[in-house]
Amino acid sequence: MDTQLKSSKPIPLTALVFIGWLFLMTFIPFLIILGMSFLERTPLGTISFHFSFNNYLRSFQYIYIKVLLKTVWLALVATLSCLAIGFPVAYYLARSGGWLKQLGLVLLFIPFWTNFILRVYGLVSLLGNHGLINQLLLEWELIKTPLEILYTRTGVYLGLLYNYLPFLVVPIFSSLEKLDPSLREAGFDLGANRIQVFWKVVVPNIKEGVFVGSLFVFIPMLGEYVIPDLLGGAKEAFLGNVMVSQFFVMQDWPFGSAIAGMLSLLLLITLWIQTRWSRIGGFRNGIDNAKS
Amino acid sequence: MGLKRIIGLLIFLGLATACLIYLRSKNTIPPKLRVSTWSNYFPDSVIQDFTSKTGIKVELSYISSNEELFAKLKAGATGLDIVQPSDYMVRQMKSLSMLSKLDPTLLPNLIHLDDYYRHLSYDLKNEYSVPFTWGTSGIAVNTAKVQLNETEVSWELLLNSSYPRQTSLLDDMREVFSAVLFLNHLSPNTRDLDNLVKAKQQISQIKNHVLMFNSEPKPLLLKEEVYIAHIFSSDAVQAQAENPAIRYFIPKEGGLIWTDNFAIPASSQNKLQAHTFINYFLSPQHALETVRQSHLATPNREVKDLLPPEEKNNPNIYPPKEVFKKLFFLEDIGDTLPLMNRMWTELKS
Amino acid sequence: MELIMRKANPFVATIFFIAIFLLYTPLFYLILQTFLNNPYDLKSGFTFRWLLKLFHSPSLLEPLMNSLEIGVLSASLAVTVGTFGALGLFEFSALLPTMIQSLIMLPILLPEVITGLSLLLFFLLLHIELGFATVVVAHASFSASFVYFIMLEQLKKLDPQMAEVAQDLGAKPHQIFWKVTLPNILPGMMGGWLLAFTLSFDDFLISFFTSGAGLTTLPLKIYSLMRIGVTPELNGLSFLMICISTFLVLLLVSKEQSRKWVLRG
Repeated sequence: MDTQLKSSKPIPLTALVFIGWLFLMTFIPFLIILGMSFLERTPLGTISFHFSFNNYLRSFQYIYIKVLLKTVWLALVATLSCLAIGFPVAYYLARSGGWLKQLGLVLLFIPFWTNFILRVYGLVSLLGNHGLINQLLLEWELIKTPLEILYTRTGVYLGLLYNYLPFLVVPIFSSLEKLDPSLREAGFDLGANRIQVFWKVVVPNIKEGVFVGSLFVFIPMLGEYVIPDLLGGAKEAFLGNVMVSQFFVMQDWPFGSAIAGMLSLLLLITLWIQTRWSRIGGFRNGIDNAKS
Repeated sequence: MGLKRIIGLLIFLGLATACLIYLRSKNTIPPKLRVSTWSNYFPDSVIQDFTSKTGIKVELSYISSNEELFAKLKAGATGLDIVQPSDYMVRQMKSLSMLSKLDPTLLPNLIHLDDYYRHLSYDLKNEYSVPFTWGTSGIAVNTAKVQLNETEVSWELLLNSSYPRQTSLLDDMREVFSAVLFLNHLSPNTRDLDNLVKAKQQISQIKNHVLMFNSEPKPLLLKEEVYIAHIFSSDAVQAQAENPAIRYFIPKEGGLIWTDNFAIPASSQNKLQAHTFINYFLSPQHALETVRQSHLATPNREVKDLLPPEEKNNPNIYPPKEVFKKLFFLEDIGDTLPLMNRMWTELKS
Repeated sequence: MELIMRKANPFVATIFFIAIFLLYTPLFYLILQTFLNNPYDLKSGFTFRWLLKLFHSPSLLEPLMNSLEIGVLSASLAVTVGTFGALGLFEFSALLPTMIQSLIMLPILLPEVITGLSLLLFFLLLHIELGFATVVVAHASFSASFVYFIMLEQLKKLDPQMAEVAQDLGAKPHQIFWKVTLPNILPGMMGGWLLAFTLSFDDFLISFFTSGAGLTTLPLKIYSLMRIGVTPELNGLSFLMICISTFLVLLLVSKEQSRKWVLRG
């Protein structure tokens, strides 16, 4: 790169291509779906172009609020479970040396590289009444009748955990990697033991990474559709399921858009909480740092 | 200067990609007939036969519910030439002008249809649709796992199952409501709100106990994950063919009868060839092959005569007269439909 | 990089190994099932017939080709757009107004249901027929941002002085480009390309909404097969795909390794 680059114009053309693309392909469609949420469906099934809040009023009915809360709870529990497992995994990876670290990363990523749907299929096979787990448990006579994991809430949790774990591990691993080893050494030199060094040196510095990682997992979980559908037996509808069914089954696109609007609101609130928390924690723009 | 070169390279890459996308997308309008069908309907050999006899290539795509089909068509899927909506969906699509009027002069084989199917209420003169198969909705039971009195099967068996975790319901609002309404000795087409609310309460009591909602429970029955399944007769008979212990019953309170029809979407670009397809499958010998392999019930009276006795006399495929009297088509319930929609959403939440 | 292996906390190590084990169990089971006579009976004996059946199954080939083509094209598009962005913005990436930052993050943060449905509405409004092009563009729309971030990191790591040094040593501009600049950003671009390809190949939900009636991608096909329960072919396919992805990851890693060795040497 030559130094003459620095004196170029404020907003380079190249950046405009990218921003224009995002604006057209992401922002505008998003506006469209928000706009749709303020229209209404006629009994015939077409759309009436009258501005109305009815969809949102309807979405505040008890059943939809129930779905919302259920979804938030699901995502929260799943995210925390991912953290419980993901954090040690990231930690172990970061603290390994040389080839073991490489191996660990490779091992972590190979499943990620198989197809998502295939992984769900694998879980369906594994957890079913005639799946491996039940077969083995029955063989070894640890249980008398098959365990019901598939088509229950537990199945959904397992599916979420299985799918989102690598996404959580990477940002945490990243910030652990960036941690200056001399900080830990300084801690040891000052007489702290391993536990103290962990809590007072390591944790504060990787808080951002943990936060951002959790966010990258929590938010998509709020909109999950496939996993509750395939692993939950289509019995429980979460926000994503309700949204899609409004579009494809009930043919009420405006109302489905309103659910999308609700989900987006939820997102904004989550992000807002994150930024407030990170400001309180005293570190810089959280997202920026753990972007890699 | 390195930067300018990189940009140049990127522009080249971008344009090349755009060109490729454009060319490739143009390529996907081949002279093929696009048929949207239900799974397990057309055996491969039958389709290949069609192509070799008419020269028309066929591309099948699958849907698993009428609503999915409706949504795809509504979402502007212009790439379909033949669709197979069930009876009530024909009515719905007709009212929204989504179907193309059929040209009877291109369908000489219409005369082979049994009279009963030429005057069904949803399309009195086969102007927009042609019934291809018909069937019923009932209960499939794995009799090796469940003991029952086969002469007295009631919807109770499904809705008050002794094996709730091995029971599945159809993932279909009107079917599930109908099952409960039958149990309550009511019409499946009732518009009475009290009846529906009561039905909804009954459903909400069982929905948490059943294994799942699934409109294609055949693999589950065969895997023995499910012993008692709310099922379409076509699925049930196919399951029975693979495992004779699986039996199909239309409960004594009554059941639904449905037809799957050929229809041509208004947006089709291949209407002529679509008519050829429909006419082809109206002819007795071609319908025969399809119906025999997939164990479907045919509305074609000559085909029925040509079937082997095990098929013809199979009461699961062709219910006897006494049972027929208790079969109902789903009718339009007008304003009640959105209300039922909301109840269904509540049930699934 | 530390070459000495630190003594890891045994608790953490256990969790790590358990996690890896659990991560692989479904996949190993799929592979195992491929070779079982009856996929649901562990004792049913070894067979190759599901794999053979797979190779005779034409209905899986078309979706696979579609997914590959869509992946290649959308990855290329995403890399183009994303790299443009990184090139233009890397100087002031930290100073960008929040609006722009949010816009860039939007495709990554927005749940797939919303992206997919909104793009569906978008295409409908513009009367664009759903099909191959719409899927490619839809995939590129969310992967471009990922590429942007990868290229951003790449460009930050790039040493601007290398070009100067080369210039001082008498290299001509085109030599500088081919031998200094390009080799340094190419790995990033390839990494970004591979990521975009994976995201596209893997994608289910967005393809579900934007593919219309005629087009099937591999994930969509697998989904519909799952629903009608065609098990054995699926297992054979799983085995194949696991092999391919293992191969790809090993390839990627070995390229990284050799590059690092070259740099050290």
